[in-house]
Amino acid sequence: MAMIEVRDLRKVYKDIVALDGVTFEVEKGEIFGLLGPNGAGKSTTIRILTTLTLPTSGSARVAGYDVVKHPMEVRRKIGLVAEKVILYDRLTAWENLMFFARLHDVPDKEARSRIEEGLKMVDMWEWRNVRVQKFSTGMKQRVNIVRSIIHRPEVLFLDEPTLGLDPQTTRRIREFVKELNERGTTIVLTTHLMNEAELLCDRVGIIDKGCIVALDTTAKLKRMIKSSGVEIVALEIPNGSWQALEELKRMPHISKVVMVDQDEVHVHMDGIEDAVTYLVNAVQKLGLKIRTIKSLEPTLEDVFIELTGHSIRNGVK
Amino acid sequence: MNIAFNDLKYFFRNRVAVFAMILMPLFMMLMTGYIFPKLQSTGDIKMAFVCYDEAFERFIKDKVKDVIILESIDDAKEWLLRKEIKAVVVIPEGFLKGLLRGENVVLKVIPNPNDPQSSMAVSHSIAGFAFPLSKSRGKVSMKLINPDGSDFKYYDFMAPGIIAMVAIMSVVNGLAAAITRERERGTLDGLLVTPTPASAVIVGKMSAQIFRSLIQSSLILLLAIFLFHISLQGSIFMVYIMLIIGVFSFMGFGIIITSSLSDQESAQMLMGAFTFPMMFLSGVFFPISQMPAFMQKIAKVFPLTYLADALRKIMVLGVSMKSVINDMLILVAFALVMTGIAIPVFAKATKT
Repeated sequence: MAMIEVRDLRKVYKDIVALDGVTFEVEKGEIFGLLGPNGAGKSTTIRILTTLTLPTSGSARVAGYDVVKHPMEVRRKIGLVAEKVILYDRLTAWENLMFFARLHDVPDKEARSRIEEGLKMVDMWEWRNVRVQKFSTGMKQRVNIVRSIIHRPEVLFLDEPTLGLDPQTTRRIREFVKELNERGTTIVLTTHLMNEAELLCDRVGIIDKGCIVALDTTAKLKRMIKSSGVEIVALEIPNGSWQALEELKRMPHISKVVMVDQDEVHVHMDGIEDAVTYLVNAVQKLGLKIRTIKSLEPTLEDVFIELTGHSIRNGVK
Repeated sequence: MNIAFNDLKYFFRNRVAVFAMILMPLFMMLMTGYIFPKLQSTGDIKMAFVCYDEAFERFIKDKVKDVIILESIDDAKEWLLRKEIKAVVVIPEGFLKGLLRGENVVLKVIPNPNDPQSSMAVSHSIAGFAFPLSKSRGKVSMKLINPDGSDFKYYDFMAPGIIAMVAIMSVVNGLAAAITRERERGTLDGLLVTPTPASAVIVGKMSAQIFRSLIQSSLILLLAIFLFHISLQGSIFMVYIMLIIGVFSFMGFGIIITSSLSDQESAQMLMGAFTFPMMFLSGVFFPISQMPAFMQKIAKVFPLTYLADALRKIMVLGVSMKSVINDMLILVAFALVMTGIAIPVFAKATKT
């Protein structure tokens, strides 16, 4: 049985179309990722699935219940880690967790043992009686995750769970998410980080401008690029000018030129023979020097660029 | 310069705030302008007498056709409560004799707590009326008292109103702040993804605010009693009951405003644009009866008017529940209607 069923979901705010017919399913026990740039509709999807926003049209069912018709039943089954940390900063970690446990009707005795277990798992036990306002962002997020699973939800929604965290905390949160999943929690997370989606998710829905443009396992998504005959070559070009790159884009066999960094450029090419040689010649004709060159395994980011025509980070074509 | 320009631009893009900014001074000037000129005129002021001097009673009945003579102070309270009279003049025994003999006599005047200023005018007109009788060196002096005989102070009129005002204002602002803060911080979402109905969230927040406002009004009450010795004739229990009902009557309004506006600045500005005139129009600082008719009508829209009125009756006149039942019913109606609107508005606002 599908844990989550989303059918042709649309959400229109005044004159902005946030979601334009989104359809997908998430199986029980899966880690499902919604990947897309800011404003693509990831958060709106999460808000509808967590009953915080009503859809304009379409339907969504979570754990068998319709989010519009039976929001209370849905709420009993879900946990949410939103973009903003859901904790009261003048309360201590313990008080916060106790408060939310009671809102979920968890008996106090059970709540106490769950809080202890949860805080120990995220290494925050010794901080239990400190006010949340004293915590760093990473510490807050760790307690926040304990809060989100205090009632043992069947589905956990995480909206950009690692946003603004240091690499070490990011890694720990990802491990924690995996661990929860192994214990049977279905997980839906949004991210704009390609590697996060690749690392964590069983399946990924790529969302752009309110539409799901691709949905599959990460491996299959990447294979899709290969089979379409696209070759991706990374070039390190010191002092490369924009103008020269624009010209490069107009050459035959070259479909996309993406600035990844100051000096680094990814070039998407048709899968012609001697693609690399062709490219080297082309670049040299433009009077640019190549420092390094390598053929790339496609990443989810490349998939995204192929599908939407723009980069996830800055929308550069 | 650039910063100033940007600040102004930022401000003017907030339509609600601009609206409030224009409205506020307009209201202030209109109100104060209309309230004060009336202070000069004594106009048609009705009063009654409680007479302990038979000679004077005969004399006044003879002179003035439909004079109101009351049996006792308790009667006087009833009349004051019905607001048919502005003041009760208490004539002591042997008043007329003393006056004719040229002795110094004291008149006691019980002002209507709703309108002490008119009562002052009453005392002056009495003095003018009694003075020719004395013919000689005798002096008539005036004393404003409460029904129980203690001195009446202008603050006795103000204190109940101020307590009412503080209670209502602190709750409205507190509630608005609590809701917008939770919304902006994202904790409101946290409450709403739990199986807690929106109405429970609202009622919980209201209760916390009521508790807060009761602490605050208790402080003022204590201060007023022990520092300024204001009169507290009625039961303190009644005062609290009225405060709770009064506060409830206004909270729904606060929720409606904060729910329909998404950011804290707009909510606060609009709230201010509403509560500020309310402060002046509800008879907290100036008696309503002195205001022009249209303002008196506006005053009827504000729950604070009824709360202040009821508290004054309880604290100054020391009346029982029966006498404030009207105020109470109006406030309860306000509370039910406002909360009734507020809950669905809040629930809807949180779903966008």
